[in-house]
Amino acid sequence: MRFPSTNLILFLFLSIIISFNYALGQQPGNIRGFVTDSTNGEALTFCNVYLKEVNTGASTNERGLYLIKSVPSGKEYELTVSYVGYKTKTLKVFVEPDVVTQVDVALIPLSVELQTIEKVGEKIVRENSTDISLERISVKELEILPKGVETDIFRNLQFIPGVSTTGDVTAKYYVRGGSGDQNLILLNGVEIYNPFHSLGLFSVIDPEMINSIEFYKGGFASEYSGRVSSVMDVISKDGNKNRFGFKGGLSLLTAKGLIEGPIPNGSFMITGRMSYNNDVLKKFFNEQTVPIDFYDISYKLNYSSADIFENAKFSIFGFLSNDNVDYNNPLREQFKWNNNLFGFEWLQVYDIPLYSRLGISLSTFEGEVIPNLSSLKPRYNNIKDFTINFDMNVVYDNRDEIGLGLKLKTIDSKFNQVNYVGIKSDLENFAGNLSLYGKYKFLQWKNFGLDAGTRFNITGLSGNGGGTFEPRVSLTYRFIPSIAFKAAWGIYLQELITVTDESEIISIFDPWIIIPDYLNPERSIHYIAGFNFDFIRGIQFSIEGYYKILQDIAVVNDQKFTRYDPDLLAGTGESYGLEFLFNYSIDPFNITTSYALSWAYKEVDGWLYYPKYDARHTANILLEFNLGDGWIASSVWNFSSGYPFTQIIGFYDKYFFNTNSLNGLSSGEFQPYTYLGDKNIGRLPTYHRLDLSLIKRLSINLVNIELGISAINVYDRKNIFYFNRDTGEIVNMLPFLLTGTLKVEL
Amino acid sequence: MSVRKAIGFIFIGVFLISCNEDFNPYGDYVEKYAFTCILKSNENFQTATLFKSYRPDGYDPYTYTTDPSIVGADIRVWYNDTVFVFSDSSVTREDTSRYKTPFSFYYNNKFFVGNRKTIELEVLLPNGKRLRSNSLTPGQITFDNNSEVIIPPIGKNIVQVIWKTLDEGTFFLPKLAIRYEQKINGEVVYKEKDIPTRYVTQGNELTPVYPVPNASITVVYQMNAVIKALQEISASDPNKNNYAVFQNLLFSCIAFDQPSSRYLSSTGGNVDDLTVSVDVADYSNIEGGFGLFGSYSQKKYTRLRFLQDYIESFGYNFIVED
Repeated sequence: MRFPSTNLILFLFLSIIISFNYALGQQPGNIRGFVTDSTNGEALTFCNVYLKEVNTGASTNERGLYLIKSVPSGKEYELTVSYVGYKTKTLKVFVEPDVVTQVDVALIPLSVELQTIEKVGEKIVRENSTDISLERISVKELEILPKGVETDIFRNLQFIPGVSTTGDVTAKYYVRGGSGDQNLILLNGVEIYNPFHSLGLFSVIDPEMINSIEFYKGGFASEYSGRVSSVMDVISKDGNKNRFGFKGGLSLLTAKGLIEGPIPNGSFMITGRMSYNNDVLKKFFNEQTVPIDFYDISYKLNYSSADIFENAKFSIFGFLSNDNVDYNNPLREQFKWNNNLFGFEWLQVYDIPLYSRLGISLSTFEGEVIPNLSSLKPRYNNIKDFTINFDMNVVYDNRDEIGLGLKLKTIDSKFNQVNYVGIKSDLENFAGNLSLYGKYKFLQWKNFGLDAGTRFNITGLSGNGGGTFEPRVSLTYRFIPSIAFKAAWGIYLQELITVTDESEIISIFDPWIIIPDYLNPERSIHYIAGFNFDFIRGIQFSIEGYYKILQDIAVVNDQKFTRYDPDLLAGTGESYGLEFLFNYSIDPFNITTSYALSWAYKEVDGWLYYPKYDARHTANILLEFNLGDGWIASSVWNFSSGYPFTQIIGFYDKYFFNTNSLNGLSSGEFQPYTYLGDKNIGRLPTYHRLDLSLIKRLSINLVNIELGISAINVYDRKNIFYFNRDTGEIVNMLPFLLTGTLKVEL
Repeated sequence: MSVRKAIGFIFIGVFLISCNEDFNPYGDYVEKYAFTCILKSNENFQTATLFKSYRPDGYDPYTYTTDPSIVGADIRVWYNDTVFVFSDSSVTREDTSRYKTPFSFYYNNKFFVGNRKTIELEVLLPNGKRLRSNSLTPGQITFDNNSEVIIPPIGKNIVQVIWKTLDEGTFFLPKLAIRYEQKINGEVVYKEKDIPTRYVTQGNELTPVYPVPNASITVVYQMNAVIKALQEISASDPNKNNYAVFQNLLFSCIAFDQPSSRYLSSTGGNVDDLTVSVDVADYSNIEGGFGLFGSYSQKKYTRLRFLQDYIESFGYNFIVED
């Protein structure tokens, strides 16, 4: 146990608060229910539910559930449910003492124009919500943004201050100075290990299957574990509960479809997407033809019947993705990756203010490099993650909440490779992580909220991961109605990492392994504080500052020349910055601008350097404009100061062994070799790019059609991706490119 | 100025800044030096090279045509409590497409290295700068009794040789050759034919695969590779009687010291075509410079023999040895 004093204080604090609440519990009434879309029964997440008479309310969670506690009983109230893009609905509700009144609400969508122009994902009614560094992204927001070649949730994260990438050519993202494998990506609560198609160009998560996304840049609460930088929690759609439907879509790269509909006491949804033409990918690969094929399939089946369990919902869901690079040439190598995910979820809402979630899942990733007759060496990685987790949330009459959870995760990992000089690495491991968490949400004061808790890892996946605590605190203090101060602090551990060479800006193989016993689990400490300003309706402004310490981060040993050298070295990291976000949203405009000033450092083996994703200044301007009659225009301008690169100092003539003749050094055995400067000390030129998009939506009989055209890099900026030292070639990112999409919905 | 005009100017400004900025991948130049010397155990002619770094006008190093060799350096190697001073010399360059001058090198022909001995280096450059290094020569290798002794082996279609070493992290380079004599115009000429470990089919052709330095302490030769090598001795000659194969094959194994093994490892890499790696690892054990100061030793395995009947089945004569 690393932090006995801190954890002891937290546990004492929790114990006192819990006792206090049991002692002072009262018996007012409660209102709860699910908010759904009336046309398809999909849960509406993060929408507002408001009781005018008592000026209180709640927002729905990621499953569409809301709960308003401690409503004075014996009265009738007006319950107003609103969500941008839907008709506001007001209902009369009579609240009885000590009873949970169930009020499910189905909202009717508004016209096409209004849905598309307004920013979906309203602010939560609760003024004391502990949500610093949390971004909620709706699919409708994604639909309006310039799509590029393919609508992609990861690429759209880049508009959030604090999230960076190393270029147009990859959807891999880095959050507040953390590396790529430190981002947790969950689909319905289950980890996806390789979330990228096509060498990292696109995410495997098809936006068509998404209901909601919560993205934590840091300071995330105790229920999340396993990563030290960020969390993306994606909830998939349930499927239309009212009627059968079909959607089809086409882009320059993929064709996709979605089928959904009702089943007795439930619904289903199946989506599929596959690449059919990879000509457009040449633009990403410096005009190289790369024979990539990929597909992904997602499905979900929901069942809810009072005959079996009242107020229970059962879901079975799955996800498959597969990528293949095959040159159809026995002399060339072949690459294969696949994710398979299967999960079961039982959501239970109890008569008392308690709800729980049981999840059982299996998530696998398999990646393989098959050399055939090429000079490459075989590489293979397989991860099997079996997880059972149980989460429970108790809500007290005074609105305070207790969250408890237990998680059992077993990982079966296999990583085999032969490096270029024939040294084999066989890392096989089977390990289990049993962890639990407890947290207390102090929400009884309207202008103050506190979420304090800790995880405790009873056993760890790695030899040094057991018996460790991860305490976390997040708070909000709204000292005047229009200004809220928010802060968070937490300790985070990570025991599964990718063996990724930092010098690779496009990486074909990112194998996952359990951190070896000669290293400690990766550990980070987040310090975050900021202000939210809400002075005028339609205008929101926030400032956040953060400081993140990274310890024991595993870095690939680029000086591993023999099998006795370690594969990984332990490094440290530090990052800090300030982030500004401004949003102005009044029909028919929506303007979002963001700016981040940030620093990131890593230190490995005594060398301090900037990681490749460290950009001092990043800014984005997003404009959306509803032109009316189904036309929507948008533009995005991205700016980033230069990313680090290692400068060339010169060249020298290096000796290469001639194994046919070791008798002496001769002139033919020397070739020019790059003499590099200090790692990442140089900076590439600034990056900026403007994308435009125009969407036309129309309905013909019962068919909704969406036509989209996007212009990428409108002014054809030559943003440098990298400098090829072997050829002297400057390789640029995406040039000006016109793309189109078509979507049909029945 | 109205807000609309201001926005208009901003957009025009954005379009104007689309012009490309100059990019210079070079940092401030500091001259460094590359020294290479691999001492041998099987002969006493030791060589070394010394070059300075350079920067071409553009980014293509092959456009730099000024010979970077440094002459006049004082190179000393300490071995077995004795100092060996290297002299500079030069030979005709094989490839003059880049540098036109003779190839400069340093040599000493008075020592060869044994096993597990400390070697130390000091180079004093003409400009007064010094390079230093040290290493430990590789340990003795011994051949395992389970190694093959007869070709063709009984009941197997592979020939395996196994060896042992006390060193850790060292690389080996095995080599197997057929020794034979060929009558050419009545004159007997001694020749050696290297045997690959296997052949692979590339298109319609068979390509031999020879051992490369690696950390394995065994090597396996496919019998069909041995057969093909034996056939290739006289491939274009119908008169097999012109050839006589020695009973004993030539098997040698070179053991590299640790720095040489690391150097080999660092230069042997190749990644796939799709991965884009912007930095390269560079190993050197030269303090204050680049390059390598290392050594290797060679050990021969003398128990591997052809059977007479087997050689004669190819139509060759057989030379019996003790």
